[in-house]
Amino acid sequence: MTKREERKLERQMRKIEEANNKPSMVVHPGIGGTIADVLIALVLGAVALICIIPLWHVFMASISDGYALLSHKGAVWAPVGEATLAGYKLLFEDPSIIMGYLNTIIYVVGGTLLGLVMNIFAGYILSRPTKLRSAMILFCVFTTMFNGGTVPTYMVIRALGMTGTRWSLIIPACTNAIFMLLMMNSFSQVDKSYVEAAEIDGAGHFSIMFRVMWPQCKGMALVTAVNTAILKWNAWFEASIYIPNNKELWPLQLWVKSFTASAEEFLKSTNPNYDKNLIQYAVIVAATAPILIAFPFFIKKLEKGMVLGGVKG
Amino acid sequence: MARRKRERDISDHQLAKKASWKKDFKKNKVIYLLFLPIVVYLFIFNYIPMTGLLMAFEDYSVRLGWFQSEWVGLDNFVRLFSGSAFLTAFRNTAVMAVLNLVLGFFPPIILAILFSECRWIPFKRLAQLISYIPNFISTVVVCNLVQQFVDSDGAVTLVLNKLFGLPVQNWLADSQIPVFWIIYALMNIWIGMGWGSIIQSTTIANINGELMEAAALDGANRWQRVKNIVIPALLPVCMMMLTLSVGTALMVGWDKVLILYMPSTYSVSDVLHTYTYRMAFGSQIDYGLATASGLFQSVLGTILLLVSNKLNKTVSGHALY
Repeated sequence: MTKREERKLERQMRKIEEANNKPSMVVHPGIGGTIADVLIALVLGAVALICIIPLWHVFMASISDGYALLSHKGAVWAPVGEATLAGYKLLFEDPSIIMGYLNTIIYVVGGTLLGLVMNIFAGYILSRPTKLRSAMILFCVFTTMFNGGTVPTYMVIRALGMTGTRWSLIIPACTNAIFMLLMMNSFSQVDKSYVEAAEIDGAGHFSIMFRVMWPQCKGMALVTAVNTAILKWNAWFEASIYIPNNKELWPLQLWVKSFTASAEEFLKSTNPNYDKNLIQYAVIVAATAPILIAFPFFIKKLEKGMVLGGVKG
Repeated sequence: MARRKRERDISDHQLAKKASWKKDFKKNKVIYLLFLPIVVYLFIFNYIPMTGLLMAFEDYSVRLGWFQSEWVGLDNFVRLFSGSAFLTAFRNTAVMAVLNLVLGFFPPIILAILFSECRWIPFKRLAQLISYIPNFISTVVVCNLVQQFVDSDGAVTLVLNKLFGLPVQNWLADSQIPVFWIIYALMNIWIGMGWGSIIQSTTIANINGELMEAAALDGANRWQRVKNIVIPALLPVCMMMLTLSVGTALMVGWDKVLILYMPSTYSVSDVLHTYTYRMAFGSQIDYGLATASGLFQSVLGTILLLVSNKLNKTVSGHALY
């Protein structure tokens, strides 16, 4: 990207931001315009409510009284019965949820870092003029068009001895050819005259990659990293087939699934502890709250990345 | 300027292609060396599993392995297509994919237009941020929320009963025809609506403000301006997003189906991926059938991807491949 294109892109981003934050210059006078404004606001408010009500319901249920909640019907708007933190107490007395958290952090951080390194190197390599370039690109692209499916992949990972270990959740699926090709596009857009100048000055591949090209490619690198992190955070299926019996390695999501699936089982005991009814709600809150708290910090960057990715194709 | 740059880049790559092997290897050996780990990674996790597709044509036995197991030709496929479970799964996948594409197409566009027409900026920004949230909630949690809300004492069930007199029941256990499909499509809309509207919002923000003002001066009302300026401007982007999603339509977010479905509703909720999963990890393991079904999916997926690519080329002039 040349300086001029960069400035152009920046101008565009600024324009978008302004448009996002300023009302349009067109005013809608009269009663009709006001009614339309109110209607639009109502619809948007309804959409926002639909997006947030389920979470509110779970949060309120998690601090309700376990016994009263059993007979409650419909959404929970306010704590049913006396508000209590018993569900959370039970949840965190069980070491599994803390362990699940730590495991998920290991999988997300490990997978994202490994994927990021591979994406950056692949992107750089594929953007360089070499004789084998088109062969290398084809080698990557083919994997996006055709795949072996769940069963053979599982067998390969089992044959490698990865099942039952953390590696099975970190190494496979930490990157894919699409991310590599996105990085390649990003590296290809760096103006070649910079690279040539650096080469004449005797810079090696690493200093070209990280000193010269990196500043212009880090946006796309962030987008691929966040996408990998979200994939790893969400992943429960892989864990359920690769490490079904190693509960000490289970990621958080698998715990959430097993807690919510077995929610009603405590009722079968003769003298049930009704607080156990709350665990299924508490675990959802515990698994969702960190994202919602981090949300305001990363959302703007991610939004910008989305837009840039869209603008550049 | 950009064109000149592109021409120079192309000539760079062409020069590299013409160089002799010896010279090229000497110059780029570090690059090739760095590419080795990536070759190994893709080879192990992508190319070797492709070899595993041989199992689709074998009576696979764990003892003999992929290359020694008995060759049975197309037997697995004959069994696959003669079983009703597979055909049901195929129909469900197709219907759910189409429903997702069609029903999921409009909400982000409508939402983006409403956002752009909203005049109270802090309110709009807040609504926008909240609408992104479902996209960041994990799959397992979303599925559990759905289960809670459409259960026999769930909020959605009760509201439907009050408004339309529909029966109070666990809707996920209902195997009547469109019920599961509609729940599933609505769930996907809930997840993706807000986040999907970002690209459209950007496109609307890029529309020249003067154009809108001029139209207003000429007496165009709000609806006319949306119809004649905003929607035509949005159309190319929307078509591009639509064709892109055709390529991955077959996936239909199958790990959500795996959580939401139950044996009594397999007739409407089973999809190709979950069918394959049951054949490979369920109670009666049949690797031959599972791999044959997997191969069928892969081939279908590749065809859809190529079709989507072709469509995209005609619609927007860009293409991935």
